Amino acid sequence: MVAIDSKTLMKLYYLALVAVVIAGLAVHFMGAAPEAAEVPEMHGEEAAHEAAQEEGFWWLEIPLFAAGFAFVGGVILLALSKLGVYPLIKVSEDYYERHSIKKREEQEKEAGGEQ
Amino acid sequence: MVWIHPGFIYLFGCLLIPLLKGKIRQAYVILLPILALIDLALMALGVFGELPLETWRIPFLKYTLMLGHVDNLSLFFGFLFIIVSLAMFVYASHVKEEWQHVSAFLYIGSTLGVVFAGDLFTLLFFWEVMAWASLFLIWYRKTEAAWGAGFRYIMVHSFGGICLFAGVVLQLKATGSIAWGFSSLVDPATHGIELPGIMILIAFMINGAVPPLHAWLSDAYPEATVTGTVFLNAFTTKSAIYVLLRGFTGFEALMWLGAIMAVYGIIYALIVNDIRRVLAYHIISQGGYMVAGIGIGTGLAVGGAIAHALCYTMCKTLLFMSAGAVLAATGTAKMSDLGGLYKSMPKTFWMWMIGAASISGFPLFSVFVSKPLIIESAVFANQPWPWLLLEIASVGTFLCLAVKIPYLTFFERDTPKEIKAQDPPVNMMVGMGILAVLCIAVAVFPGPMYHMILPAVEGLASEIHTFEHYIANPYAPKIVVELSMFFLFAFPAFWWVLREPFTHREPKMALDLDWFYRISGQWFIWFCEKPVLSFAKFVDRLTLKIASYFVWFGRNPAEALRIKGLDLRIQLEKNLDVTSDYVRSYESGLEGARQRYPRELPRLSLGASLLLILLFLVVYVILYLAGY
Repeated sequence: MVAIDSKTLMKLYYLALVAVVIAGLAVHFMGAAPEAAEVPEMHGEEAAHEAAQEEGFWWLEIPLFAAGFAFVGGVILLALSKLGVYPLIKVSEDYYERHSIKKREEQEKEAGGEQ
Repeated sequence: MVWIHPGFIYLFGCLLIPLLKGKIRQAYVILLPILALIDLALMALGVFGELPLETWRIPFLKYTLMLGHVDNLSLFFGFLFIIVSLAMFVYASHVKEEWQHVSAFLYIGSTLGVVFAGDLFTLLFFWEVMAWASLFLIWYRKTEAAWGAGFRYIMVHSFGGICLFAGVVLQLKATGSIAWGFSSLVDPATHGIELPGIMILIAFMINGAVPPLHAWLSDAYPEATVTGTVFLNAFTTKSAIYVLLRGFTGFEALMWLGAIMAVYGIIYALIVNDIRRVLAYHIISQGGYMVAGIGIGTGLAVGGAIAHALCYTMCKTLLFMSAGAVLAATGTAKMSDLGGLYKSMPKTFWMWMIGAASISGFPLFSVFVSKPLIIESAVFANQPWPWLLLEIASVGTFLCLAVKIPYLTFFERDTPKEIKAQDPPVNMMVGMGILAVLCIAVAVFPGPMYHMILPAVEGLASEIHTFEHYIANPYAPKIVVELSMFFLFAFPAFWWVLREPFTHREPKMALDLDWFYRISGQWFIWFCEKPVLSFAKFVDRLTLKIASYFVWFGRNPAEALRIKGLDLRIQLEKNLDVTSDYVRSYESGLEGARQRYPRELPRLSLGASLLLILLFLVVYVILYLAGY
C-alpha cells in the first residue's frame, strides 16, 4: 500500500506550481513552436488559415492566462453550482415518493381504514 | 472469405449463455468479444476486401437492406465498442444471472448493428433493439426505483424511436431512398436541415442525452445493476455520437447545444450525492464536447470528436467500474454514506485516479490527445462563447472527478463503522486494469489512433489540414505546459476556497428536467385512471341500460307501448292533481300489466300482416321519392 503523507504531497504541489509557472513563462516568451520538420508543409489557403489560427483570441496571448482562468473559472463554477444552483434544486431523496399520487391515496385509504 | 457481421457474433453467440455454467460460461462471455475483435481486425487488414465494404444485402419489400456498410468511421467505432466490451465482460464475468449477460450481449450486438447499418430500416431496427435490450440491465437491479427508472427510460426511448420512424418515413417519401450514412442530412448550401432531418436529429439527440432531452440518462443509469451501468455508459450515447457524425457534421446548432451540454452536465455532476449519478451527469458533459465538435465541423473538431469517443469512453468506463466496485463492496454509492475508503480499497482508488486523470486530460493520459483538439477547434473557428463553456467544463471535470470525489470518498473522514469494504474480486480488477493500461497507452502512442481517424475525417469534415497539423505534434510544449498549469491552478479553487461547503454531505437529490414528466406523468395517469375511467364506466352503464331496454321492448312492443303509455298517464295525472281514485286504478292496472309482461304476443292474420308490410313499403317508397 502506498503511504500518502499530506505534507509531502503539498510540498510537491508547490514545487510543481513553481516549475509550471516558470515553464509557462518560458514557453510564452521564447515562443516554443513545434519543430518545423514534424509539421506537414502548408501552402496558400492552408498557410493563411494557419496564420489566422496562430492569432487566436487576444486573451490567450496574456502570459499565464491558463493559470488565472483555471483558478477563477474553478471558483466561479464551484460557487455557482454549490452555492447558487444547489440550494434551489435540492430536495429530500424521497421527494418523488412523497409526491406520488398512488402512495398518497394508499396512505389515505389506510388512514380511513384505521379510523 | 465470407464477411461476418461482428454484431451477429454477439446477437447469436449469447443464445448459448443460458446453457452454460460456471467457469465455462465465464470463459465464453470473454471469448465472444475476442472473436468479434478478430473479425474486426481481419476487416481492417482487408481480408474481406478493400474499404468501403458494402455487403449483407437483404431484399425487403421493394427495398434492399444493407447490414454491412464498413468504412473507416464504422470500423473505428466498431473497434471502440468491441475493445471496451471485452474489458466490460472480464469485469462482469462473475455475474451469476445469465440473462443479465444475454441482455448485455443483445445490447452491444444491436449497437454494432447500428454502427454497420447501411440503410435507414436497418438503423431503425437495431436502434429499437438497443433500447429494449438495455432496459433489462436496469430492471435486473430488482428494486422499486430501478423498476420506475426503467419504465421512464423505455418511455423516453420509445418516443425517440417514434421520432426516428417518422424521420425515416418522411425521408423515404422525400427522396425515395432508404440509404443511410453515405451523405450528410445537412444541406451544404444553406447549412440547414429539412423536416425528415429534424425528426431524425431529435431521435439522435435523445439517445445522445442532449439537453433538454437528457434527463432519462441521469435518472436511469444510476439505478441499473453494478455491471449494468458499466455497460450502459458506453453504447447508447456513443452510438448517438456516431450517427450524429454520419448525418449532421457541420450543423452549427449542435455546436451551441454541445457547449451548453458540457456546462449543464458538470454543474449537476458537482452537486449530486450518488457517485454513479455524478458519472451519469458527466456523460452528458463529455458528450457535449463531441456534439460541439460535430457542430463546428472542421477537420480538427471532427477528428477531436472521434478521438474523444474512444479516449473518453475508455476512461469513463474505468470510472464506472471503480464506482461499481465501491457500490459492490459497501452497498452504497452515496458520498453522504462514504469516506476513508483508501485504507480498505487502495487498488480501486488508484484505478479511479487513472480514470480521473485520463478524463481530466492530464498529459500522458487518454483525453489529453482528444479533448484539447475540440477546444482548440473552437479557437480556430473563432467561437469565443463555445470555447469559454468548453474550457469551464474542463475545469469542472478535473475538480469534480479528480479532486472532489476521491477526497470525499477515499479520504476526508474515517469509513463509517457499518461499512466493511475491500477491493473487488480479481476479474473486476483485471477488467479495470485492461482499461487503465489502454488509457495510458493510447495517450503515449496516439499515432495509430490518429491514423485510423484521418481517413474518416477526410470523408466528413472541412479543413482537414487543421487536424493533420495538430496530430503532427500533439505534445507541443505549449499544450503540455498550459494544460499542466490549468490543473495545478484549478486545484486551489476547491482546496483553499470552496472545499468546506462540499464537505457538508447531505443525503439530498437534485431536481432536473425529468421533474416535468415525472410529476405531470403521474397526474396524467391519475386523469386516465379517475375522471376518464369514471366517464367510461358511466357510458358503459348507459349503453347496457339502453340495450336492455330495447331487449325488454322487443319482447312485446305493443304491450310495452301500453305500459309506457300508462306510466306516462299516471305521471301526468299526478302532476295535474287528478283525484287519487283514478290514479290508483291506473296504478293497479300498470302493476298488473308489468307483472304479466311480456304476455303472449298478439297474433295477426296473414292478411293483416301483409297489409302492415304493404303499409311500410308505401311509406318507404314515399320517403324515397320525396328525396329523404
